Amino acid sequence: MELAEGGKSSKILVLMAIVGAFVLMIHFTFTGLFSFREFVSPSMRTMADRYTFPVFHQDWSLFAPNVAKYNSELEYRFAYHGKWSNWSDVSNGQGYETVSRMERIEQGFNHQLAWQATNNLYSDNGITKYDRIMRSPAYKNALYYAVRMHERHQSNLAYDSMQVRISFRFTPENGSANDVDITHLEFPAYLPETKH
Amino acid sequence: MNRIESYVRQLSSSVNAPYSLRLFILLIYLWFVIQAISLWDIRDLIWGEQSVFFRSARPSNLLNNFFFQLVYEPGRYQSVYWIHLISALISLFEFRWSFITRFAAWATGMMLYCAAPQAFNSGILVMLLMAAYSILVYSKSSSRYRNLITNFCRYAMIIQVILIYVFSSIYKLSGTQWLNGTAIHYVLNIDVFSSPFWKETSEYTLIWTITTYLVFAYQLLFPILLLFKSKRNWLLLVGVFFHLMIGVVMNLWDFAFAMIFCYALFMKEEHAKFLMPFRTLRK
Repeated sequence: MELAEGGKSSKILVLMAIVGAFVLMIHFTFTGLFSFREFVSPSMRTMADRYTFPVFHQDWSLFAPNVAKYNSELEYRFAYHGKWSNWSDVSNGQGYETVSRMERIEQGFNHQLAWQATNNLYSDNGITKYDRIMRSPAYKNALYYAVRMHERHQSNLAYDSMQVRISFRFTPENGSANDVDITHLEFPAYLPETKH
Repeated sequence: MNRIESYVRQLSSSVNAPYSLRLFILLIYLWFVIQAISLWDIRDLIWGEQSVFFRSARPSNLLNNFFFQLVYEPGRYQSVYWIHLISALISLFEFRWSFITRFAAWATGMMLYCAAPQAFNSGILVMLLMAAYSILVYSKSSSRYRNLITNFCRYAMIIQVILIYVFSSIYKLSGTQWLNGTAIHYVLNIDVFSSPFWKETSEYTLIWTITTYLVFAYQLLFPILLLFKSKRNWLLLVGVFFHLMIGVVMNLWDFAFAMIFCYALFMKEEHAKFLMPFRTLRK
């Protein structure tokens, strides 16, 4: 009886091991497909996304494939009764240090906005167009962040419009002179009481 | 079939490397405790009703509705935060019903992450994955079934760590900066990942070019060098140093310690036992 039960137990364990190995194989196949989703077919990408996100979400592309060649800052200014304030950094301007969590959050928004600027900024008849960027989640996230930080930390300062811009400070090439190249990308003003 | 049965018998008879496994799981939940405490001051900014994040809807399905619930019901974040912190604290200790507290710590950690992904980096992703794999682990079991499950969970953790290095290396290989040695130069010039002191040192091109290649080589060779058990301690020490530098130079302490903690999986048993903080945890 004991031998029979031991044999049955061994068979169950072998079955569990085979199932476990199979599960691990499928799991890491899907996570691999998810990690390189831009290189797989749409149908595979959909399957990988459904399996992996959000439970096994992963992203190992920090500083890869390349590091950004610029510093970026999200700045804002606000107007009240037609008078604009000075430009101020959204995070540093509220007292958060450069290496703080809030500054890192801001950098995340900057990264997304920079992508939008690279891919969705265009001109029409010589006029720069921001409409595609302003419809993007990246712009909404950045603007909302600026509005919330202002309302939280400068609640005594009323505003009737707000404007954000992203400042890029480009890093000199490795080994070259330290000339600093700064450029700004200003977005149209946000008017809270105007329906768009 | 005999070989498979023999291997399964070995896997189910006892937990492989129980001390390093136990140490690693302790470190996972310690990481969550420290992370939660470090976010105490700004938790309302991140998760509260007046959060700085613009909340947008997710496609409706069971998993999204569960893990993204703080996006729709931010008022619940205090409860989720405290459940996460308390369950992570309890999960520092291993007992028969640990899977309950570990699941709670993992699920609430997922909710907090999903409500504010921009507030985190890959460090939390590493720890959430490891926490998921650790739910069913019980290193003190005498049950053959539970030993088998525990050993498979341990394999999942090891494979995941290796894949992190492999995937990251592949991403870097597809660019130019890690291949031409300029990557760290550009990192040092990003204010949020550097400081005035380190930025000044970025002028020493040769040092940082060599460092870039060393870091990249370590990452590429890590999965292979792991096979040399006699040299493993040196490999891990080098890795600890590199990741500590990520913390010191780039202030990415959460990611640095997430990766350093993962090295516990590869430690020798006598070293892991020595590092276990309490006698009761060593039993």
